[in-house]
Amino acid sequence: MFTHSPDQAHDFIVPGSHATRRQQRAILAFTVTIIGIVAYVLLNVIAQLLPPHYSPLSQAISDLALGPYGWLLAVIFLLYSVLSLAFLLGYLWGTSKAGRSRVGMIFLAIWGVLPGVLAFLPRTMSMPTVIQAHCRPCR
Amino acid sequence: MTTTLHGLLHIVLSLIAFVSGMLATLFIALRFSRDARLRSLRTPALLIALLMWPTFLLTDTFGKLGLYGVGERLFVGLGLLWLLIVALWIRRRLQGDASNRSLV
Repeated sequence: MFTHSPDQAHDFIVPGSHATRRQQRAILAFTVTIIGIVAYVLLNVIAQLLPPHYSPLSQAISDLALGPYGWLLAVIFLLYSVLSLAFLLGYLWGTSKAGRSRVGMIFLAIWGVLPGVLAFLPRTMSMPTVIQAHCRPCR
Repeated sequence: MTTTLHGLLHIVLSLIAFVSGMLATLFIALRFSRDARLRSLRTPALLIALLMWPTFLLTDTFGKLGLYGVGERLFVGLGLLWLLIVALWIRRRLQGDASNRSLV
């Protein structure tokens, strides 16, 4: 059996071939995605328990940036970027050309990159709104 | 709520990311039907991808009920669930291929 092209990675595999290495890279990328998702959920739970003024029921995730644990939110956003871009690579390496959507991959890349950008662009509010958000008696 | 230009940019980019996520999951799920090995993944992936749309559109309604955080987390959670299921599925397939090779 021969490997005709990397895109036929599923069908004809020779151990040590380019297709095998591609599959191994895909397995690694998906492993990073899975571990990343578990870490993302754990970090989110921790981040939402830390600020006493924060309500996960009524407030957006981005509102965490306004408190003293804003740096943790930046880490969470970066993690989201890493796990979704790892997924993109896994999808690229681990599927055949027929099962791969180019448009889907472009949107997936945007979905993956933007949280990383948002990590350096936290949600901000004007000072009176910040005071309102953090000071219950002021509401 | 008064938002600064910096904050407005954050909201706009978040919206682009959310919409991109919904479109990515949908396009990719639909494509699974073209690969015989991924065909069985199409239905669960498509179901979650489609569920993301009403969840996203209802976020504002959740907000009016004082549950904006719940709505947003439901949406993000569905996106993560989609990534997790697809990653686990394809990874298991690839590992199956690898173990079959080692038996040859």
